[in-house]
Amino acid sequence: MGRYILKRLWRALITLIVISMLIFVIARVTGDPIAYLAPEDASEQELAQVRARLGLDKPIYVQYAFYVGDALRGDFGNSLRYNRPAFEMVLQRLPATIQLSLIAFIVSTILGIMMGVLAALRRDTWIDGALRLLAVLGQSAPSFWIGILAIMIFGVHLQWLPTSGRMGPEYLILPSLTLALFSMASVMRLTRSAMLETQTQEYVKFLRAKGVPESQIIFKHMLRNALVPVLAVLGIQLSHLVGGTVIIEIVFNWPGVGRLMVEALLNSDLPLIQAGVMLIAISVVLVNLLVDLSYGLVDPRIRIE
Amino acid sequence: MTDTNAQPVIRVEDLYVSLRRRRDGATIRAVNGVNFSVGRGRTLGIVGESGCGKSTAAMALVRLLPKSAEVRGAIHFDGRDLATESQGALRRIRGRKIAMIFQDPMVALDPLFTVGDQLAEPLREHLDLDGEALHARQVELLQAVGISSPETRLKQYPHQMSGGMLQRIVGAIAIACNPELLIADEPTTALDPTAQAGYLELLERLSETYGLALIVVTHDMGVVSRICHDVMVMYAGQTVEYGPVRAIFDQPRHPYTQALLASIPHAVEPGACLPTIEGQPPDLAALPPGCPFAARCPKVVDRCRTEAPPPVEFAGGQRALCWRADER
Amino acid sequence: MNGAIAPTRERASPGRPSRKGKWRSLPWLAIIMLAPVIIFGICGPLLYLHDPTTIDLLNPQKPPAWLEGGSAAFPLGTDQFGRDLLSRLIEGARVSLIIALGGVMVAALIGIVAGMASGYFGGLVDSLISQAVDVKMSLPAILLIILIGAAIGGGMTTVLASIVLLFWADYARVIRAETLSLRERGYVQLAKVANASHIRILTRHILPNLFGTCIVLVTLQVGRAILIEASISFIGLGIQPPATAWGLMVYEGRAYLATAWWLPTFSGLAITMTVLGTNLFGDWLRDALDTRQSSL
Ligand SMILES: Nc1ncnc2c1ncn2[C@@H]1O[C@H](COP(=O)(O)OP(=O)(O)OP(=O)(O)O)[C@@H](O)[C@H]1O
Ligand SMILES: [Mg+2]
Repeated sequence: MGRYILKRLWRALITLIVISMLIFVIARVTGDPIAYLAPEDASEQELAQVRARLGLDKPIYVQYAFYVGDALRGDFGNSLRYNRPAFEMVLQRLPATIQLSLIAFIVSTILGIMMGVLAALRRDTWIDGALRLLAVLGQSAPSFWIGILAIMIFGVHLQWLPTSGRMGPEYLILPSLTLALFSMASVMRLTRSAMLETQTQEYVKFLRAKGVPESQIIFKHMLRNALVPVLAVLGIQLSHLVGGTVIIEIVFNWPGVGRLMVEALLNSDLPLIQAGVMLIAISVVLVNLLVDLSYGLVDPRIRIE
Repeated sequence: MTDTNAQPVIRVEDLYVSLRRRRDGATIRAVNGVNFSVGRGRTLGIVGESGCGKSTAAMALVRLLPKSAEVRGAIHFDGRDLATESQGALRRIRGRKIAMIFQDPMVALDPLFTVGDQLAEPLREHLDLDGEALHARQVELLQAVGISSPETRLKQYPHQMSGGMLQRIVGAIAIACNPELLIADEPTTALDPTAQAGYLELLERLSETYGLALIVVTHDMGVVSRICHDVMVMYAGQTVEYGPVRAIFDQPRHPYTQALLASIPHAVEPGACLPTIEGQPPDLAALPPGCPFAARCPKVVDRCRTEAPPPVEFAGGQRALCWRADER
Repeated sequence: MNGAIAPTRERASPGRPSRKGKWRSLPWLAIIMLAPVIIFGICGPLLYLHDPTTIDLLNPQKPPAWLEGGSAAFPLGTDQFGRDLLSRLIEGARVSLIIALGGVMVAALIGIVAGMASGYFGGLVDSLISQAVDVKMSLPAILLIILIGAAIGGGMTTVLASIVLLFWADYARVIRAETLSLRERGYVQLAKVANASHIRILTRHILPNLFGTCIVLVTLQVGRAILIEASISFIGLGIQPPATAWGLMVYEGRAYLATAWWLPTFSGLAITMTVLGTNLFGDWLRDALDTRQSSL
């Protein structure tokens, strides 16, 4: 277990370093940062002073070190457009995004697993067929289109649910379900095939021969074994979800980090983009780490070496 | 029959099993007339080529077959006919009165649960044991199969144990509820020679100590001669020859048994290629009329191809299914 | 005695499907869904009823022909500028297909080379490439897209760069695993003993065996690439007007969903159908070629 944790921690660290380097490099290639920090009519000498003050005359790796130091203190500079600390602005929007993706994550995992088990147990019946079709559709339809259809049907036509903004819990329903669809489809397909795979295992035959009740075989043994490969991809599912959130936030006018970042992109508001990307990367890496550790809890072969 | 003096533990009469093949929906007649009985403390070997229905016949005894399977015939056990019992009743017999073990002890246990947990399952399910009594029985069982420090072993997972250890655990689970019959489907096939010897010894000892009736399905004539009292030779789902091991090895009556025994080299080099019998067994989805072995039989006569042969009985309980069984 | 009855026969081997069965086993649903897209993609400009960019302010937001107020001249209706929706969809098919195929091809090229190098040489090359794959896998695609967008702005290049950057790792991962197992095969070992150069071994003995896996991956990836392209266009970083692509059309149509529902509906339907088609086709291909990558 110790080695396993160390490996996962190492991967998390590397991921964060790479993303911070990418952000740093992109900040440098998109133009001279002092162009917008110094007054327009500044002389060469004044510009040099600003450079020196900002450390831009130092070698690139020293600059990177400064940059990381700033980032660690939560200092990404001010938003160019709003002239407020970028980090703060992102932090303010973070709960909305976390709320949306977390609910979608829970919904897609639980429903996906339940549907996968059902499809596997009812293999080759119409239930299985319908669930599989739903899964393929869920993986093929763009989420923004599903979102727009949902708005047209449940918002404009039936007027059952609100479709824009974040006022009460009912505002969560359409966005989180739309967001969950793709992941749910993946989790379902994986659960189904994992369940079918466990059905052919020798230990299942042995359990039947022991006279263990079928329900106990399915829900205690087969399901838990089927969950091992499912858990292994939950981290990736989460990445998909966070990516999907950005789009869903735009479709449903959800005031989260994703929408903020896309606005910032269209305004070329670099500090805001940097802060947003970094914070999302950190959240994803942390949750991934949690998923990896829970994997160890389910599978004793990882827990005990 | 060999065990006429005692009431047999299990007696199977005219067992037929047909299965539905998933691919094309064809009906596979996997078992086509199997007859045998096994008494207390006796061991029956079931031999035959791959695909001749040995496992299907063995699983049919406790009706652990795919949903599409149809079972006909009579399976007399414990004063009932298992061929007609409900699945619910059978579940209470499996693991309780009839235990089964399969090929590879390395994969017989669920990797995600402790050995103790999996040993407890049949005890809880069938004997309603709990708490102290359960724990005591677990320890007792592990000791019975020769596992030292049972307390720690109970808390371990399968991947933490050696192959030999897992064999014993599987043995302990099998005898957990004091069954009357133990069915072992190719218990040694997946094992290396040393492990095989150990496993056979264990099975033999359990059968002797607890007076179990034991059925061993195997490809290995060595296993038959080593631990079995009786042997049943199967071909295309039929019992083609049945009787005491000595009698059959000395004087096989069915041409198939003769070919089988002739194909066994007297000194087997490790890894040497074994000779096989010419030809292919018939397609179980389309059995020919008459004797299914006719196409490969060296002694075939016209009658074999049209009429199914009757069982011919011999002294000492030997029985063969062949038109020319009593010829020398 | 220690004899054994040697099995004389393999377990019932599935018979070859008859020719008729072969025809029936083709993924007809997928073919039906993909055929129009491919035809439009190849000979799009020949099939326009109208020029897709011509603004016709006399006919704005005309509904599809079968609805009241629709006309046969505009089978699927028109958009807010009176442009023919069907013609625009056909134009979009071309753009989307070119981008998806182009991006996936480049990604495949990079990924295959990286995967082969990683699996064949091992050592430092392998750990660097594997590390890079790991990092890519644990980052949400959207972050990479946003960073690329921040660096080079919106447009075709952004979409292509995103697809390449997002997809190369999938090839690298799968190809690495396959190469690792191929490397141990007898003929590769023989070639090594015969002193064949690395390049020769890689191109002659390993690459041909990766063909099936690559074909399946490319097929499945094209579907995903179309989705990525649509998403990027949807957030405004992709194809820029007046050029068009399906994702962009959904985005533009979104503003009119109360008055002209057909605009976002049909564009999204086109995307869904195409992706569904490639997914079904890829699944079928995977089973038909019997590649081991069931997790693709
Ligand atoms: N679930 C099933 N559905 C359809 N046919 C089956 C099924 N299981 C087995 N069969 C067929 O039934 C026949 C008997 O199979 P069985 O497994 O009983 O043979 P076996 O003698 O145990 O062979 P082996 O020595 O290889 O274990 C075979 O032809 C097999 O193809
Ligand atoms: Mg068998």
